[in-house]
Amino acid sequence: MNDERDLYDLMGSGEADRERYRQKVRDSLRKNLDEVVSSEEIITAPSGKQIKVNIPDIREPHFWPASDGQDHLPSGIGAGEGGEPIHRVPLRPAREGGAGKEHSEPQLSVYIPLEEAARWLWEDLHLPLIESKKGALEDESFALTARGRTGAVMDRKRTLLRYLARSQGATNAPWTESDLTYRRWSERMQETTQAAVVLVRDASGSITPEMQYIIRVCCFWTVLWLRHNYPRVQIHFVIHDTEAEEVDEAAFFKDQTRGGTRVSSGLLKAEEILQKHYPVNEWNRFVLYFSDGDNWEEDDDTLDQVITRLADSCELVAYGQTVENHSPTPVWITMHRLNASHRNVEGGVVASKEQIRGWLRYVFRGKGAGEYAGMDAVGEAKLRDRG
Amino acid sequence: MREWMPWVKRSYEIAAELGFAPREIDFVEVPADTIYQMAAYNLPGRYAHWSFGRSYYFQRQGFEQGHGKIYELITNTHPSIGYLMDRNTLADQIFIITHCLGHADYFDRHAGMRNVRPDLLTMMQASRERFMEYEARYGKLAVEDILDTAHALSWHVDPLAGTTPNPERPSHKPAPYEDILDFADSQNVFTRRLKQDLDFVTRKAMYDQGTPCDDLLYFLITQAPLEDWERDILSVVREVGLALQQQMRTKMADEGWACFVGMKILHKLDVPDDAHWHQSALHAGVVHADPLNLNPYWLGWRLWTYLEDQGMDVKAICETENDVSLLRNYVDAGFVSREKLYEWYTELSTGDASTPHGALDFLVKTRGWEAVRDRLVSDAIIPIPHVRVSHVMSSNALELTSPVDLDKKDAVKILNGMARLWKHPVALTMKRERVGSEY
Repeated sequence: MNDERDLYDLMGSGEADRERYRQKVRDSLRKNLDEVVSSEEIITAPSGKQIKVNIPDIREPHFWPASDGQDHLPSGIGAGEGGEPIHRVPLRPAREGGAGKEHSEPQLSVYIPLEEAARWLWEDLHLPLIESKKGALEDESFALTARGRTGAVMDRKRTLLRYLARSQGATNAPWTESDLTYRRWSERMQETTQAAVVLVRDASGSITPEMQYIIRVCCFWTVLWLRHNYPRVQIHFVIHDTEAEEVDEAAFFKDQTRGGTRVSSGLLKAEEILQKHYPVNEWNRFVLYFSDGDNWEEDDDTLDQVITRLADSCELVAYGQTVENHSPTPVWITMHRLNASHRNVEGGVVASKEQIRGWLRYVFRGKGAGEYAGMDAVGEAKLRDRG
Repeated sequence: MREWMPWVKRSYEIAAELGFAPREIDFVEVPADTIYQMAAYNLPGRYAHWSFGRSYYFQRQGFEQGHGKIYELITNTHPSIGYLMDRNTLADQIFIITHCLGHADYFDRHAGMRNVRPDLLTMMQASRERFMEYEARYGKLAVEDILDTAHALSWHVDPLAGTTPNPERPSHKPAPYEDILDFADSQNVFTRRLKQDLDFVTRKAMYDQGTPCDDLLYFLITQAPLEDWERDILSVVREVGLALQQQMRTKMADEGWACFVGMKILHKLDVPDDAHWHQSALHAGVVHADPLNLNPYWLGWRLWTYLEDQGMDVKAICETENDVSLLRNYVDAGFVSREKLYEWYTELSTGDASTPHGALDFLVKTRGWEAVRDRLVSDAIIPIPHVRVSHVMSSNALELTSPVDLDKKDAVKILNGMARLWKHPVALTMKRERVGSEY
């Protein structure tokens, strides 16, 4: 009876169907890239680790009664002695920002590696690989490109050619030692492209924790993209209020000062760092600046000059404004003016998580449909209105 | 020859002595993996679909995390197939075998269960092969899309709507304009579609004379302009839906009967002493009174035991009642007080020293037998909304109705799937709202 198990075999479609389900989950993840991109876990996870992302569960649709919007406390039938009370469940403290009692979709936790998420993002944004112009001669590599009379590995092609040349087509001509050619190791100097990026941000009192988080996400993906393009990337962090200071990564993402705002201080500091350590002819230089756009009036000229100088010596000067640009801010106006005259000055608004992908695409000149309006589209119209 | 095999024969003998007549069961010993796949697919040889993959995935995960071990799985087929997990002890297997015999007795006793089509297994195997062929010919996504819609509608099948017709074959009677278009065996998509549309118009004219239809799948199978293979898929899903729905309606009575009969057989079996102890523990795990959640195994078993103690003809009752009717007609004051049943409710309270943020208290509301019975009945009613076909508009748009408001997001997805099959817009009018397909 038992050996006829084959009759009742499922013919193993369980694995295939499970795979199909996983595929559907993956597809859903790709559609929810905003969630993936700004997931806290992704930002903090070390490379190679599996990151957890929450998405609504993929399940079959049913006709089921709509919830009437009210919270019904549970009830039911039980058996036994009862009790006063039968059971008691401690409540957890109310979450910050309100209870949010809407009926939420059951969530699925999916684990994906960071590399895979990055790949999806690059594909989604259609970012063209950056053309690297400069680099240093480093990184020897070894290849079997040299030839010689002695060695371990024979170069058969050349050996045969020498033999044929010498024997002139005569059949059965004997082989001689001088025919034999060998491959040898030789060193090759390769040009390695390298990038230096200075991340600058306004650390004055007006930057909120949400803005800080968005800045962090933008910086994370920018650095990841640069690492994708350059074998070697050096990063520096600068924060400023009225004065600028170079800091480490942790301080860059957390610190906040109380002072006013003088934007040029931060960018001058960036220029200083670049000039000191990263010669123009060997390094591809990038400067990213994040702020809410506020600035002293008198600082406009200095700002204009420093950005112009940076634009002339860097691959890209990018600006991310953490507030919407309903009325153009002082920094935006300056940036926009330079954007018109310099092709490598770019900028856009990143006031919410949904704008991050658009910003990345715009700044790194990705193709593909997107409603994100960067500096060109928005600023132009606004300045025209202003007259 | 497995250890447990002799016990099967012995159990059947005892069952006959006790006056029961369980159906023939084919017991197979399988690895845990197979049991979890079976739990997801419900029937062996079922067609491939991602929803089963999803169930399988979650079952497996639950099992690996230690929630709920599936002990037994038995199918209502001819013969029944009883799955035994290979890592069970002999005592486990003996217990499960007697429990399965209880099920097999129920399958042949209950009027609804015994009328489930006897060739279900063969039908599944055959349809599975046909579906694989369709996937190869028309694409996996096309087949999947139809199955997605069919699955959603399979909860709404009605056995009284009619027997599922076979996919129509080209009829010998010439269809309208056939002599001009000559498409009796046409491979041309255009002419085939034209023929479908004409058939559709003819059928719709016939349908307009009829009454509203309660079985959405049946309606689509008989009325929608479908290719043969599409109709085949819907038909198979309908047949499976009918079988599974029957099972759903008698879940408690079935499990209760299996425990009830199984225990009787077990007591008469000459089981070695240490195995006895194990079986009692297993039994306690499967059938125990809970202060908050009534286990259907437990409830069914206690009810059958009670009715037998009262001297009622449980076999006759078993034949005709399903869960809802059994609870409605046979739960009385005696049962409620014997099992100490009560209805409970919850209340937010300030709690005590150990619950600083307050607490949710579970309290007894009533032990009144009528209230308890009514609550048991309403809990046993399967909450599937009654969605039916109302009429077909002159524009060929399909109108559905539902007496309650339904979740709109899911409803639109299903309506879109139906519109793809119906080839015209489909709309659903609910109690207060109305939704329509997006094309």
